Amino acid sequence: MNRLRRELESIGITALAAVPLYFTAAVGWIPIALFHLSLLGLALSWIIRREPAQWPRLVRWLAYAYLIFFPIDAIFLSKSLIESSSNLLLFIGFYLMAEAPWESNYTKRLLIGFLLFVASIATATDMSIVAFIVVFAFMMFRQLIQVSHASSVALIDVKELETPANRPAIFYLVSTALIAIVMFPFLPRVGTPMIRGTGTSLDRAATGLSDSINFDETRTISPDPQVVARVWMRQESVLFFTPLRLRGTVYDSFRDGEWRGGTDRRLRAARGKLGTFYVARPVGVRASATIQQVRSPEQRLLLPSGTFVVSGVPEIFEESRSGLYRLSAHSGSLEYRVGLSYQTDPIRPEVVKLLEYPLSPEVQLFSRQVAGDAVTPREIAAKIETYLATQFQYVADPAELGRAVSVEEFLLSERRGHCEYFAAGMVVMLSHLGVPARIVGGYYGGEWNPFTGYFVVRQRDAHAWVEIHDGQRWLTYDPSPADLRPGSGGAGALSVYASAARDSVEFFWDRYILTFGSEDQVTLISGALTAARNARASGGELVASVRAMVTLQLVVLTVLAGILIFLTAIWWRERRLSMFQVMARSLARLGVEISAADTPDEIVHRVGSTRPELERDVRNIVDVYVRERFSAAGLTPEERAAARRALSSLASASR
Amino acid sequence: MRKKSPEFNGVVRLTRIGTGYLAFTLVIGFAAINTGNNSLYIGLAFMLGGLLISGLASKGGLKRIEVEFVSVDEAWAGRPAHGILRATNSSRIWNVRDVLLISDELEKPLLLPLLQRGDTIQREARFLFRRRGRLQFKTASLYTRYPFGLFNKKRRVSFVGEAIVYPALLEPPLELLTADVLAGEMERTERLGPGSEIHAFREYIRGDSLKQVHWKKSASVGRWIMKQTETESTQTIEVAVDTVMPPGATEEEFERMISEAATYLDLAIARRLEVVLHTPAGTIRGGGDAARRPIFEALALLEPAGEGWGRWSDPQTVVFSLRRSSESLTA
Repeated sequence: MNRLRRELESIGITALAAVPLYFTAAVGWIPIALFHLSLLGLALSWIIRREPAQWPRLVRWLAYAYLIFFPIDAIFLSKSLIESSSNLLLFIGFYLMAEAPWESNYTKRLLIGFLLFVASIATATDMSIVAFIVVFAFMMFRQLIQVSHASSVALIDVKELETPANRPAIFYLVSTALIAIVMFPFLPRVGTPMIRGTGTSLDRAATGLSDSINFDETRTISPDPQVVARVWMRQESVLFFTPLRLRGTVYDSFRDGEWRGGTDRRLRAARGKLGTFYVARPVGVRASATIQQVRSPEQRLLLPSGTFVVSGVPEIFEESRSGLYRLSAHSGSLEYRVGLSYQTDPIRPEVVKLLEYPLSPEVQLFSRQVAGDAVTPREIAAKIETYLATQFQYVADPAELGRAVSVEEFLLSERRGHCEYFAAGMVVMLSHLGVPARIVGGYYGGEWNPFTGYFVVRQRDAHAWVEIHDGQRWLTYDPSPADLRPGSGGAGALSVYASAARDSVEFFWDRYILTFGSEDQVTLISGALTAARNARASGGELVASVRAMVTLQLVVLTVLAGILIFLTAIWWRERRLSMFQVMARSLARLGVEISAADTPDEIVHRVGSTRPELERDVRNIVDVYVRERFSAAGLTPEERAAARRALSSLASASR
Repeated sequence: MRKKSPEFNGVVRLTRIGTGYLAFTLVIGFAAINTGNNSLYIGLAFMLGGLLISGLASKGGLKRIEVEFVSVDEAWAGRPAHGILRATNSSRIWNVRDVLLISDELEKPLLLPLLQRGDTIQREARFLFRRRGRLQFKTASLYTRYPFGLFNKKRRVSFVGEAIVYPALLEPPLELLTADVLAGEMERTERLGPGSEIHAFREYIRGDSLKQVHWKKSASVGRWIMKQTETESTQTIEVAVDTVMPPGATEEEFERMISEAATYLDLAIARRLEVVLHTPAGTIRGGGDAARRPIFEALALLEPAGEGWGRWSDPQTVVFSLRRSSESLTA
């Protein structure tokens, strides 16, 4: 590898190391862009001038200037020691690259590349970081192989020889990756024992539910595919507890034109022991589910409607009156189990208030008309729900309305809107009719993932519905037309499977990589120990079945490996065939026998006399073969390509 | 029976870049444990994996390299000599690159750029032997920083082979050695051949060298006349090397004497003289390149002796001896 190429690669690797920083909040984009532009300038300087200008004094003065600039950056510009330190790191990266023409600082440059790499991966949570690590590791291995070679050659004081680095780098990359995969689950995870840091969790996404609803402001909804939660449920429970409704927030008061949560938002610790917290009394059919959810900024749990018990979290807090629960601490993976029942009764008596909403006489009249002769809260709610769902038009995108529409306008004139209008309209009507009701914001439905057996709930599944209090418990109603609610649009099977496959990978990444923690390690090790103990205890039968299974797997693996080796051997043999052998084989198929004892002229003559149309190709191949074999000059890429074409043409003719 | 795997009787040292790499690995490890950040754990696992594979690769590859001496051209003590080495990598997994072979017998470290697994390569090497004699190669050291240059690994390997090193030649030759004996006149042989004496004349035949044209005669007869020379016989030089070490003589003096004899004989052979060498081990006669090997091997293997021959009677024989003239003739 000549020096120019190595310098360019070194610049490239340093530039690459900083790329993920664009996508994180660790450093502003301007310093990174400046860093990349500077490196681009250095690279161009190398390309154009071969030996770039050496300005040691200028570069040194820049370094002195940065020493003065650093505290200014920390105090006034970045206003953060971490960000200004990251900027300093970028500057050092540039400085070392600029110093390269006159300073032998190759090792330092590689190490600064490593440092930038660490800064990048420390702030990244996206799955694409793996691709980044792989590419970076490949380039770094290439560089290290070159450095190792250069240092060995320097010891014997000979001119540096070219050493191939791509194939060894790939080999070592694959080997390293395999070791890393095995090692990853066993690296110690003891959780911030020294300086409190930020453990990785699924906090890259918020739930996206707003704290309030204001119909005077234009609402927008984006079809965000970001996963919010995954819910596992036994097959027999699905019938009773789907479509899922994950409760995210409750709007039970109306003030100053806004729908908000109730005034009483004090938190109190939920009752529970040993990590099991009862949040309601179960009524009717029961089931259980496991939920993995992303964190919301408020640390709120997205509990499905009908949840009466939560377990698997250290401590939770209850928001009084709303029936919402929050986590206590910012711990690792947010995965918990819930007990579900068809209906739930409150654990303690509730004081339920009617919503105070200033209604116009027209709306009051409209409400009474819709309720008709219904008497009980359930009857009234059912009538209104049915009326709205059938007589009003559902508009998935609020932007279609084109203007801000109040709830009264929605009910009396517009008669179309998105789910929040339907829910708010129903709550307003119910309140007028004396039925306590509230809007619930959350996620509805979700998508069944056939590969992993869970429901995937995404941001685009955000929905609003209604809960009414019938005097005993809160009941769920949804006035939005069922076939127009989130996730109801018919998607093709292919897109469903593609989406499920993508989500499965994301799930694996989230669950087993990003949020893999000490609990998982304990589970992994204890699971392995238990399996080993069981196998030993149960003896004969189990061991025999395991042995049979292992034997079968070994047989299958051996057969597959055999096929792979066979195919590789064929491929390798083909690759190793010399140009002459390939030509001889093709000519033999055409009935022209040649051997290694024949001179080039004899071969050409023999082919010319029997298959004159092939003479030109054969002459080309023979010429190239002779030159490659016996000439010190070697072949140009064009000659090699021409020979390959001639061989291919000959092979085609022989078929 | 299962073949025992060879031991890695070597040394592993961190290089500068290796120290930096290790330091960064520790930093990432600290950061990962402290923050519980799994992205850092991925990076840490990769870096540890790289460290481990680097160690395994270089150690595993180096462990199974064997080096053999194949041959060497004329090996003179104190002069570089070209030779051939054979290196075998019997590992089934690891290709090894950039292996430096260092041995006392090599003029400078030899780079083996690539030793593929299961492969044997032969490499030319420049040897430099300090002393004459039969040399048994014992060990050589293999060094490599491959693959990543994080560690410098060294392993001593047995270096199988044997060479006979001729005595050191004196530079420049002594006055003695350019004396009349070597510059003496050649005897006539009456046979055609290369030489300076004209034996006969003949007509020019196509293909004759112009160097053989007798210009004077050609000018007088008006056509090209070629001269035919007669070959000159080689003079025979007799040399005796007395290996007796008289009291007080040092080993250096003995070696110097052997070198003088070797230089003398080398010059004689170069001048196409017939030589006869008398040593306690026997007498060798010969001339030209064919004589070099037996003569210089005999000189290479001479050892100091306690008892000598009797007085050398032939006054034409050049005797190399450490004994005083009263005891024996000296050169």
